[in-house]
Amino acid sequence: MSFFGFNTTLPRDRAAHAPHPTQAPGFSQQVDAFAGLSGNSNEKADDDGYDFEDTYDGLGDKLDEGDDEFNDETFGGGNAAAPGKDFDFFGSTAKVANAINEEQLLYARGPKKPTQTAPPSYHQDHQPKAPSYAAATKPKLQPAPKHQIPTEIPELKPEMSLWATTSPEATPAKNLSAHAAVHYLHIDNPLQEPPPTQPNFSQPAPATRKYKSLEEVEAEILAKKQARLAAAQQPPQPQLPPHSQLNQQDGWPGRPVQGFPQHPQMQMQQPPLQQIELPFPPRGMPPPQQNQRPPQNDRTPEHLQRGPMPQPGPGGQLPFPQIPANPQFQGNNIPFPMGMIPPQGPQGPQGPQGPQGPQGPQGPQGPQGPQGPQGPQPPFVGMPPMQPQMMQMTEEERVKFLEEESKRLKRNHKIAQLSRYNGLMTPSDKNFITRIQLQQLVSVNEDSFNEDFYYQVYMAIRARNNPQQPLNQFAQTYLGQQGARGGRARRQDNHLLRMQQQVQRAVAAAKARPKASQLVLEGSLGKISFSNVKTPKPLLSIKKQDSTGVVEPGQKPAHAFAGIDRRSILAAAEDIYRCLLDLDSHERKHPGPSLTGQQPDANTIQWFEVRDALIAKLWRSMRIMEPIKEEPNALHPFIAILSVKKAKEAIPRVFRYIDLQQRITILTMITISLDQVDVIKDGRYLPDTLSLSNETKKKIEGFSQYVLPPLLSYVGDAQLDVITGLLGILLDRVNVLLLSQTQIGLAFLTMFTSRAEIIKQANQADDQGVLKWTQTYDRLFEVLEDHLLDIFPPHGAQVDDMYVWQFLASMAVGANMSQQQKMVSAVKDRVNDNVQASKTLPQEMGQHKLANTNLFLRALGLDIDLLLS
Amino acid sequence: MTAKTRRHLTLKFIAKTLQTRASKSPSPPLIRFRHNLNRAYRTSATMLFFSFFKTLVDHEVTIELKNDLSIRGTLKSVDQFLNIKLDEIQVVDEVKYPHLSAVKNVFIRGSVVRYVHLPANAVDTALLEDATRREAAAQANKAK
Repeated sequence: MSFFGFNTTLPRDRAAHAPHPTQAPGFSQQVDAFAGLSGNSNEKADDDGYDFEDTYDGLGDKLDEGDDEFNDETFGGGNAAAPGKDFDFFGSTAKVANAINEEQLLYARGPKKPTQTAPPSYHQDHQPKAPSYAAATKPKLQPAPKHQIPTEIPELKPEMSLWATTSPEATPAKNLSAHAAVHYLHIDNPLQEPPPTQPNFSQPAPATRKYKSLEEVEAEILAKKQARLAAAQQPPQPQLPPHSQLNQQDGWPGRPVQGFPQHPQMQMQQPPLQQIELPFPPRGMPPPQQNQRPPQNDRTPEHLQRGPMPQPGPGGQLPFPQIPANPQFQGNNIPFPMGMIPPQGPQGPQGPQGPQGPQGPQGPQGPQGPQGPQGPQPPFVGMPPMQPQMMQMTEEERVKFLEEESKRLKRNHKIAQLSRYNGLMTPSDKNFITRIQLQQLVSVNEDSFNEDFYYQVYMAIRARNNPQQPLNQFAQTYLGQQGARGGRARRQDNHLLRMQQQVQRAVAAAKARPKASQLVLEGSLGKISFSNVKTPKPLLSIKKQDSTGVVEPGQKPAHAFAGIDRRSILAAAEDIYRCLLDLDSHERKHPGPSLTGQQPDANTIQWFEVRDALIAKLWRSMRIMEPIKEEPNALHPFIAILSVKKAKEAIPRVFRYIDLQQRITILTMITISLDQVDVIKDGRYLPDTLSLSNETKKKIEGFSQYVLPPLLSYVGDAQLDVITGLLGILLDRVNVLLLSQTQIGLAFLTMFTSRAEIIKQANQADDQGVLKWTQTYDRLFEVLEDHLLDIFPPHGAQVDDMYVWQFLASMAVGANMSQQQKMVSAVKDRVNDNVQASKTLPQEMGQHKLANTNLFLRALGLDIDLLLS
Repeated sequence: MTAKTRRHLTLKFIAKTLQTRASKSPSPPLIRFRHNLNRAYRTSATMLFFSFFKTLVDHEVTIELKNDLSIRGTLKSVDQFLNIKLDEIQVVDEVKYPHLSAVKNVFIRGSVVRYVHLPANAVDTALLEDATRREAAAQANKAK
């Protein structure tokens, strides 16, 4: 829409604009602007615009030179302010990351623009009176976003005040006025005199008072109070008309003032203004004053920007209300549109980018860095959307709108505060820290028992043994880690729990992912692994053979138990322990005691199921159910395993888990094979030996320390018929004479007889059972009665023979009168020996011996004192 | 040193093979615990040692360094590198190292430790065996 209605767009302009989206707001306006330009040329040449080219007369070359001049500033050369302290490339790029492509586009366009703008300026000089030119060109020059409208007025005024006072306040005006752009053009063009443009700025001075209103507006925006917002929006509106007048004066009347002395500061200040608005590289050198300003103001606005950005509404809508006014203004030559229109022009190309577009190219240029460009725009974001819409709104809508607006601002402010330090850490930094934290989490919660097993359990045991002291170290470390107790930790726990679950899920997902990182060739010894970035490991890894001993004991068939060689016995013992450890750790996961009468929940049920499975596995690992071979020397696997010390040590722990039936099975198995148990086999005092070998002693000690107690505890609860049966088995299958000459054998006999006697005396058995027992007892006595002296260890004076006396005592209690007499006569000499020996031995040992002997005597109803006296 | 009241054990842990040898020898008054730090860092075997030493805090131990210096003192803390902090220290052979007689506490870098002599009554050998089994099982799982 040229002034004269021609299609005045220059061919190259057409080409340049063709790619722009026509639907972009303000695009049409931009075309108009160029139309105005070309219109001017048309006035001269009466032609299509080719005439313009002809009349151009190589000015373009000079333009290029001008560009070269400013290259220094653009790319940080020469006198441009030193690349600032806060020169934060990453921060700036991160902030505009989403708009980076558009930035690149703009950056590419940057160099083009000056050439485009150059012609207008040329014309301006030569044909100052063309009214449409000013209105039309300026929009094109100003890439600043639409939101500038409200603040425009104040900005013009600060410049004026600067002109007079050089106060720093003038600089804050971030909006590039149309004048700035014009001025900029003049500067660019070497042919044209810089001074004439400056007067333009000087003229707006009268409006200085309004600058304060801008400050108010900004303050109000920051405060985000609804009421203030309303107030802030209204003031600018009334100001617009005067402002437009001022502009009008500036634009054209300014010309006569060309001779006006150029103020150094003016030049300084102009560039920054341009930087803000123009997407292409800034040419001016930003003075330090200006640098200080933007950051302060930018802080909040910078983030405010983002809020509105995603909303297509304000961006697209805003420019439109202004459009209708625009043609009018153009026609009237009123510069007022300059403020309104310019934003539209840039928006066309930028499209959805909104305010962020200019940031990219401008960011790196000045010392202001990323903040410079961002700063100015934000304040507008809040205000401009409201203004045009507000006019059309009803009161109600307006209130609503303002409310929403204030909410939005509040939120933006919050975001601004939170994101103040955005970009300080790179993503890899964050990843690193996250990994550390996750590692910590995992190791604290999941692996605490794996990696810190000894400490945890040791402390737990100590705490159990010594209830006075547990809350000291233990509470700090163990409980502290578990954190389950103590209300303070509850919330943290929640977080921890959630994190932990997340981690577990992540780990599970990672594990679930199939890793096809290896290739195993048929018949090859190793596998070829494809290394990746994370595991640049060995290219050839030898396949590890699964050791057969580690295989699950339960799955192992019975015949796999190779025999009684030490290695397989040890492996079998380790199997038992592995099962025990699994059970132990499962025990720790106990869901907690369920209240009586309550149905156990699913967890508990499952827990018990798993527990049963583990116990079954443990049971299998003991191989106790394997059939007993009838061959004379065949050693049952369980008995073989039992010969190892660690297997003996495991028995008490096994007994904790197995049920009564299993216990009696173990007891029976041991009883049946008693003469094969190593402690019995090797436990006899061979003729001509004073004592047993050290190894056997240790074994006996181990057996009586670990195996006997659980068996005893079971026998202590057994019924008489069980005892009778066991003793019968012993008498039937085992050489009881041999048994009686060993400590463990006697211990078994003592165990049975004493238990039977207790049951008998407590009258817990019926007559039938007692009768059976008595028969069995008589059989035992018959076997032993002629060899009672043999059960004593040789050289008993030096050996602790308490177990013998214990056995004799238990026999004596159950014996009838004749049996007792036989016993007394058999061991009488021994008793006397002991009494004599006790006198020669040190007092302590002597007393011990006497006490032992006394056990037997008391069982007979006698006392050692009778012999001593 | 209360040599006679303590059990005399030499424990050598080889976590992989799970062999725990305990032999009673009359001379060394304390359990000797072999460090194998050079390659053990961060492996779970080290974690076992770490876990183990944590239970010995506030007990008196004797640290034998690789330069044959033996220091007896109260174990104050230990970290994952098995660095050791000792308090109220006393050099075993004070005649040979008189310059250390004035030192009251030390921080010993884990890598320079040859042996740590432990008070036997502060060691739960059965539990230690279990812990070793767990470590071995964990490592076996990891290897798979």
